[in-house]
Amino acid sequence: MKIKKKIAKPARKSAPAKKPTAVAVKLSAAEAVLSLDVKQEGLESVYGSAYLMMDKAFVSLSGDRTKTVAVTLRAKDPKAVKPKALADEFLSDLASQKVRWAVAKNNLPIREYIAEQAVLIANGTVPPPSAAAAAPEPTAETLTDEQRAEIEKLISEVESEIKTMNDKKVALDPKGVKASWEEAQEKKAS
Amino acid sequence: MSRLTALTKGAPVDTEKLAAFNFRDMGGWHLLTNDWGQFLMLSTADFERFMAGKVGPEDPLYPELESRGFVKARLDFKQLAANYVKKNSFQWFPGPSLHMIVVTLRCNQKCQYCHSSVVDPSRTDTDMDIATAKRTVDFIFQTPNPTICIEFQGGEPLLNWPVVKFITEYAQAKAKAGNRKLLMALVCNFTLMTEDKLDFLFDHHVSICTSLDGPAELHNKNRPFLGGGEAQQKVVYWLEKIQERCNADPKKKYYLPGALMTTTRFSMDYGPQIVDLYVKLGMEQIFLRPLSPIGYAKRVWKDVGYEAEEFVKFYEKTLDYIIDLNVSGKSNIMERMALILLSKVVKGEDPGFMDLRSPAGAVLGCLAYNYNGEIFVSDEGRMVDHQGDAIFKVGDTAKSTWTEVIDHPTTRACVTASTLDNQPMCHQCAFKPYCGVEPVFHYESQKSVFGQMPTSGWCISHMGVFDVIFRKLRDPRSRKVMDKWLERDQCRWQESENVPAGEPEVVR
Repeated sequence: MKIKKKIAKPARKSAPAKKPTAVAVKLSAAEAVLSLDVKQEGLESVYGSAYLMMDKAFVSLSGDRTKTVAVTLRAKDPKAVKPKALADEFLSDLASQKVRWAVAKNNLPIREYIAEQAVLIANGTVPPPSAAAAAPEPTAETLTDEQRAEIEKLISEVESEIKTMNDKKVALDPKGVKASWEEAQEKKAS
Repeated sequence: MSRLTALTKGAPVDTEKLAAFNFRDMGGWHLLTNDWGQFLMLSTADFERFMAGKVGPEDPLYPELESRGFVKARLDFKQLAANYVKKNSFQWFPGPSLHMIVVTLRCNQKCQYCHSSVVDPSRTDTDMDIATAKRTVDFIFQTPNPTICIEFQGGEPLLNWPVVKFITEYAQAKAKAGNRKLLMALVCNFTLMTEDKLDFLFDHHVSICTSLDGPAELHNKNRPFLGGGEAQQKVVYWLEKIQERCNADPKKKYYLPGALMTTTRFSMDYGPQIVDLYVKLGMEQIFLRPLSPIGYAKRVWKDVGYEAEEFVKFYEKTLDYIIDLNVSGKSNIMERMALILLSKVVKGEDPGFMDLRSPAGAVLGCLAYNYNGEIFVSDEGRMVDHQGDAIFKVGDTAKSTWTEVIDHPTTRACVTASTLDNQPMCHQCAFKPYCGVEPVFHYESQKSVFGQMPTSGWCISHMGVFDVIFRKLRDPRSRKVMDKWLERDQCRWQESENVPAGEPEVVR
């Protein structure tokens, strides 16, 4: 189970941001071609940087996405932006993308846990903090066994619901959104 | 640098110590926000120390970072979850609350930018009939949200006054019988208002909103009568008349009329004059709204439209003028878009604005009903249909159930496309906790419900307005004014909150 592994293993420490190591940058009068090591730069970061360029450049990607990807940047307005400027901007964004993705990945289980807590508070399953006893909360990096067990329980509940949904081919509707007002009132009354 | 902004080249970063957050280089300082709606404005030097993992518990900055959920080792899970619940309160109510009924497509004005795809006043075949009106109200009461807000739209709704009256009375009877909370609102151009109609609206607690684009020369250029004639004078006359009656009766003070202005290319040089008119009329708020390239406006965009960056400049300049008026004590008028964003950012609350939600208001927050009973994800979706593209139709009151509408593939597509965590640029944007994207806008402007944010006019203008608001929040002089606005707005909501279910309530 993917999420279990994420909780059990502390997130890998990411290296401090350093200058992106594009394998090569080729500049011509019309375009910039950057060859990037996918393992080092990360495919999401390359995609993310390419997407951000779309207001200024036509972007095409080619190559082997498990090894090396070539990013070709051609300015939408060649008079306003030169290929060198496009390449520099891409590399600057790429360095930031690597940090943004590392932070996102490192914090995924925490974000999921807090989102689950929010659903429980909204459903009234757990009281909001003002109503709860003022016990000190464990920090994110020191999840207690109880917390781990609670998360495991929640995950297994969700998985079970998904399985039921798949088996019965019915859609989940935990908030009762699909029930009409009358159906909701009847259910409440019974 | 992309519009998302980037880190300083070569600056050290220790990603392991960082909690989940997004950042934005604001030029000399950095904005940090997180999923739970918390924000911090740091000097670039402090931001770089934070990113490098060099802000320890002994650092004066640490308590603030900790209390707002930016220190991974010190997260208060329950508090952050509670913040998330409050910020996204709209997510916990089942079904839409806002139901826009187009009682006719007819209109007696020919606005330059008409969003509503209206037809000539002679086209009575586009009036909603009583049977369709009844079916529409019955459908609305099927939807599961305990609070229902019915908003009359057009065309000009007063051209089909009998149906407006019928829906009002029938919906109020149903609300009382079903113990539902009901709010009623009318959006009209005031040109067909009469004392009798006004009496009915007051008696039935229907709040009233109109369009006022500014001084006569601007308003009449933007919104001329069919066949010529002055429209602005009528709007001003009725605004003053209704205010007079509201102010004379304490029970009616919550029914003070609202007015919306739409910014066209012609408005760009009129910022202060528009504000001055609103001040003169005693309006509590002005809403500086951009024009959307939807419906008729899309066809005439080259005549009345503008670049998103131009709107942001207009917005900032006009907001500066409004703040100056507040600081000098000449007026305490508030700007509505700023108030909406401030409610989200400063108070961590959802102000009920359908356009800036994730997912968007389409079906989950609102539905639009055409004169013939067809149901659309939003009023903008209905306008696309008027041009011959039914892509945003999700049902028909003659045959659809609520379950079918919420399960409709178009509903699912709109929800998926407008969830910011699904959007490649939005999910990394510092404004994500407070922003939203509109599938109909992007379908109309970019032929995709997802849109392409780096080139999206929606994104450029909203990002620009967020930039303006955060810069104002960092400026003590503007911040003081904005804090006062938030206090006043909160008071108004609290004063009008205790309306029992089944009773009509005011909409603002």
